[in-house]
Amino acid sequence: MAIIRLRQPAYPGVNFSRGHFGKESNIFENEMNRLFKQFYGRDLMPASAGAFPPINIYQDEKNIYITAELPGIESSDMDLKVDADGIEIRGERKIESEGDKVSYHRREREGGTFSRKLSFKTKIDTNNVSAQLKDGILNITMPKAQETQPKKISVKTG
Amino acid sequence: MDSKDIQIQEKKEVESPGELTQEGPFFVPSVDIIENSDKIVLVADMPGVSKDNVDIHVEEGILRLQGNVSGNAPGEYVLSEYSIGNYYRTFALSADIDQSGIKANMKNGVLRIVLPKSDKSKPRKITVKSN
Repeated sequence: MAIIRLRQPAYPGVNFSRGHFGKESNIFENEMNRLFKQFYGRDLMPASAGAFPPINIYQDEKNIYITAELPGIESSDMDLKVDADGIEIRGERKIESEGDKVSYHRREREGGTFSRKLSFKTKIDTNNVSAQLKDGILNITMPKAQETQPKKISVKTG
Repeated sequence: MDSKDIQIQEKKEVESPGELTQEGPFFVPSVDIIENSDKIVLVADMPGVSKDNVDIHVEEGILRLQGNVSGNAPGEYVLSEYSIGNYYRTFALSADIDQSGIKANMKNGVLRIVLPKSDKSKPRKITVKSN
């Protein structure tokens, strides 16, 4: 039986500390990132959660995007469940047996079960979530629910 | 269920990218190298690399593997657990590989290279005849 890792980091909607929300509270971090980038020509090393698969999360006004590295996994090897405030990815990475009369010189690739659960403060339009698996990368697009999207208010002159 | 939980492996950056001329980080793909009596199979995890963006080069007994990852961030970063970059790794081939017979196949971000052994290095059974 696999142990299910539950991780519920704070995502969009709170002052999460990657330097993109609540600009004022993250002046120092932004400055560190800027200096690092200037010096090394790229962003700070990513913060691993220590759980498989590693994911990246992006957002724009309309959607939250999740990408995950899942090399060698067929869409039939995994399950994706979504509800109004979160998503669950689980599955199994199978490493094919190479037969009996073989010897391994390197064995760095690992198989096994995986499970990750992500919660969002932003409500998701669950009916329109789409996911695609291509070249070992899972791409999930989750539209934000209408009521959480920014609205433009036209100001009338009286 | 007898399967175990997968452990995450941090991406390792290529340490001496001496001959690389491209910008950006290069990572070392995780590989399995499996040998049997007639071939050596090399399996490499390169998520994000399509079959058109992988380059396998064999020269003077060195197999050089490079995979390029393309694509832009779809929005602003909220969280980053993995870096996006190209893959690079080299392997020294023993002399007994039939270099003309090397075959490669890419599927779901996993590259599989089959390196057949040359005839002279395959184990042979010698039948002993009686006079």
